Amino acid sequence: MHVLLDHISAVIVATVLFISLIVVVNRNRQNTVELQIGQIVEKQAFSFARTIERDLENMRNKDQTETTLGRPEECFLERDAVGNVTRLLFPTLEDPSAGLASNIVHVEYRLMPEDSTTIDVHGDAMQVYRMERRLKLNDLTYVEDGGSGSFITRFTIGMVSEGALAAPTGLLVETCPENLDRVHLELQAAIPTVEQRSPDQKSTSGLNIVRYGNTIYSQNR
Amino acid sequence: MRQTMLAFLAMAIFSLLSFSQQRAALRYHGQVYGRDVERAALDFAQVKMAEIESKSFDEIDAANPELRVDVAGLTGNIGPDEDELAVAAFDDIDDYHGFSSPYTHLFNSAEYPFQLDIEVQFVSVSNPSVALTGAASLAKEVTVRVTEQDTPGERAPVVITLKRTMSPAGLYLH
Repeated sequence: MHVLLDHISAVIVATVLFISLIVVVNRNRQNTVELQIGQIVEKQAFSFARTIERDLENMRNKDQTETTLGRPEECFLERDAVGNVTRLLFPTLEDPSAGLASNIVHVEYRLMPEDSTTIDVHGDAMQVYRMERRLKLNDLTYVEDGGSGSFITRFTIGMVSEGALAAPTGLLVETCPENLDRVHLELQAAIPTVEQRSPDQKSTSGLNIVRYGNTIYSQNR
Repeated sequence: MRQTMLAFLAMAIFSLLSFSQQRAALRYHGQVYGRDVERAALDFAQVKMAEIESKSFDEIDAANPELRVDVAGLTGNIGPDEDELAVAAFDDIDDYHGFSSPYTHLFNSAEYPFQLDIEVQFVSVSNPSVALTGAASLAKEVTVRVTEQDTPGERAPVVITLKRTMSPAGLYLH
């Protein structure tokens, strides 16, 4: 005790520096982890985006679909209140690599919320979704065929008609226009980083968020 | 006295370490934000290019739904025509020539400020890399350049340049 009191200022300075050092190192570690997770998410998001882009590029028109399938074409999307596309259904080639020899199928994308998964970004909680992709064979039969992992935080689609400058906005249900020229897709992805104990570190800095957008021409509509 | 000197030395070392860590964090954020800006700029350039592609090949074709197969009747004029003072009035692709304006692009709910510059020129059909001056052809090259505004920190502004050669047949397919 006597020794401690003799060197009290040194003890206090050393303690404060030690704690500060731990905090700084821990913050740096969090940044590094978020950055690496961001790169993983980016790879997964791009892979999923490529799948849906390929389907949209090979979208079939009403005549092609009804002639081949012998039943009415279904092509529409549904949005939630914040603008996310929660359901997207359209006819496309089942195997684009086979070209015109491929079957035509209705493909459905459904945005499924992960109930217990949210990401705190700058203090705002973001819902995490996964995308389900399935082929609609008839009104009762669906076949699961790919999709995404649980990393989507925003997904929007805008369908632009020929001659229009932009897609209509604010519609909760939208039918594909007959003269569809292009589709504008936006995707935001993120997954939670390692859980933080310190209250000021529970909110991610945004390094693990990936934003993507593309304009896809549907030549066959 | 010796303790005080040691305490100052420790604080100086810690300050340097802390400064270094802050710079690293700033660099991480700069890289990630720069990547976001690149994607937003590319998305914006694609959106504008698609908008231009939705127009007629030439002023005289705006009222003619037929597919143009030769240069007969082409106005040859590059740039907005009379009374085409705003984008809403543009009806053919070369009306966008010389267009320059600041824009705020909304990308995944985030706003990105950009400067948009567009150029259009006639190019050779057989060799689209050769620009034609004073002569019309069935190919126009559209250049859309998007430049980041208000770039933070020491990072160079993001510049995306998108070029596309448009023909009456290609536009007709749209």
